[in-house]
Amino acid sequence: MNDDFLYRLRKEPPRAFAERLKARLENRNPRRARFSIVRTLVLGLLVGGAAVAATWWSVQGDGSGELRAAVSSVLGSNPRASGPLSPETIARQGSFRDGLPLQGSRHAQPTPVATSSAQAPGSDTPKDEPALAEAMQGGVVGGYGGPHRSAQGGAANAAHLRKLLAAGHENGMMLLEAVGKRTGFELELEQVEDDEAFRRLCITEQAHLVVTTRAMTEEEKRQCRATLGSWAYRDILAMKLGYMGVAISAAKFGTSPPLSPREIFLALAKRIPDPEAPARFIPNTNVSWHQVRGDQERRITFFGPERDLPLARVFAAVIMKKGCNTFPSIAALRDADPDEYRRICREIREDFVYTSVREDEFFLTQTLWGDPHAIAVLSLPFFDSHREELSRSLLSGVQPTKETIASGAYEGSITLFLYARGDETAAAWMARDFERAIGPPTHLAGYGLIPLDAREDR
Amino acid sequence: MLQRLSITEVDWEAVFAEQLPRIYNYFRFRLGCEADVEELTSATFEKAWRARDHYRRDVAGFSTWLYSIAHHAAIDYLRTHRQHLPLQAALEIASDSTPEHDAQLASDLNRLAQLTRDLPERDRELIALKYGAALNNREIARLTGLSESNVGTILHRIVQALRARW
Repeated sequence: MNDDFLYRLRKEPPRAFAERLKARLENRNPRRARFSIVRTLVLGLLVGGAAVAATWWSVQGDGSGELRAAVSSVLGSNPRASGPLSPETIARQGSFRDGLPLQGSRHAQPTPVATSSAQAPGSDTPKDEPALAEAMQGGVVGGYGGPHRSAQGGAANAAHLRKLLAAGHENGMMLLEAVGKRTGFELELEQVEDDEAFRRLCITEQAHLVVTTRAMTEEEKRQCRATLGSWAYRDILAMKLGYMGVAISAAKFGTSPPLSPREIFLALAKRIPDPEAPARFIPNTNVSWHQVRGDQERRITFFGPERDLPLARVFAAVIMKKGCNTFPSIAALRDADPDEYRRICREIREDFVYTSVREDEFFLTQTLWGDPHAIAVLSLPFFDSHREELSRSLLSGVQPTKETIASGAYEGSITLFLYARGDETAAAWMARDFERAIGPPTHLAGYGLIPLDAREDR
Repeated sequence: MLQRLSITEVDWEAVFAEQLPRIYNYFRFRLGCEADVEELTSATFEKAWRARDHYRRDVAGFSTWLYSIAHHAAIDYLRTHRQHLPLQAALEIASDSTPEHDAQLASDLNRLAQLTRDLPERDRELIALKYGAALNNREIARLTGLSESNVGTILHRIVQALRARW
């Protein structure tokens, strides 16, 4: 019994099996596969959401977590969940839309087309998904376009605009992609910073939709009005989508002190500024917290989501980015070299410091409890539902609660806004699909999105 | 200028050819028998393949993802099939080798499964990754969160213990 003996126990997979599996993988239609993931996610959330909501209701009133109220809207009822978006709702959500009809739009009206086809040619929208054209026949378009624009005309526009240009925050692009797949729209996505996103929407007209992490400023509104004209300005839809965030925690009796985004960045980034020449970026060799913050000589250990999961992208875009922006040499790259800036801010090291885990009871009891020094990156719903077994939030500053998330005081979350050019019917329909998607039960919850609760939505 | 976000740069056929024997043997070692190995291997690849577009520039990340899926699949399987573990092994005969050789392999694998049955979960995982998936200590360290030297030390201790009981 030695290494060689153990290696000799290996054997090649049967050839027939390998060929069969390969053929199956090759024949798999990747686009359909992505739809099935979404469907699985939706089903999982439907079942899981109902169970968790029931549990929450049963324990409600024990006073153990204000966040519960904020997160429960993912799983509980929300008046926005169903039905078309009414003009009143749009006016309520739009920060500056006045609900006027689209008369005077300088965009030519496309030739009306028949709306009997629920699915545009080449669309992969599954038959059990509500097709866009079908939904349009419900007359909801009138809610956007005013009485002069018929459902037929709206469908024509949608057909005309099946390819949409979208820009904005990386997590926003992730959401747009998820919703777009359900509608059969073809999206061209580009990640840009908020300033650039508004510029594309209003000034260069390179985007039909943008998702940003801040609302449009008065100055940007003024520019928008000046460039597009008052008619166009009135028809930009604005919607606050909700919040995205993560929690940083540890085992109940963990020993870690609070951490700032900067310290988390220094612990987890793949590359960090060279202390001796900050404009140069070197591989991260920090292995103990003593190297990061000079206090304790204990190993850096993080558990978090798989690197390709939406939650990991939220973590990178929210906390890692905040941390990296505290370094002037990295912040300077934001305009000088945006691609390099994004890489440095979001790439997590690939050595033993960060281990991907799945959020479940096994992780809590077998992994996290076994290492009191380990830090965990968790979804806010998971954190909230396991408060009894976890430490407080270790992110410096305030604890995540409904109020601190909504106010932006909690550092681990961001607010997302969707702006769409209302003169493009397709864009308006994307806004409507977001309206549905972010209502509970929502497949977007898997993307770290915490929708507005009913009170905030009023 | 707007750019579409789908670019394929990885030779997925090569990835499949390299990873299939590793994942297949990872399951053989984790389960200690041949039963259901093909099914678990298929499920792992099918799940990972759906997400491969996300790894068009990061094959290392894809491998980590693949082993993570395999790990959870093995855990789930063992939770529900624990009572059957060592019993089916000797009955399994593979198709691409001589019956005698396969019978010997199955017998040795069964013996290994019996000896490792009482080991901690982590140790059984390390054996499967090292000798089943044929990963080196650095790769195992990255997957498990242990340090590379720790992986070597633990594996050395396990093999010593197994040798004494073989």
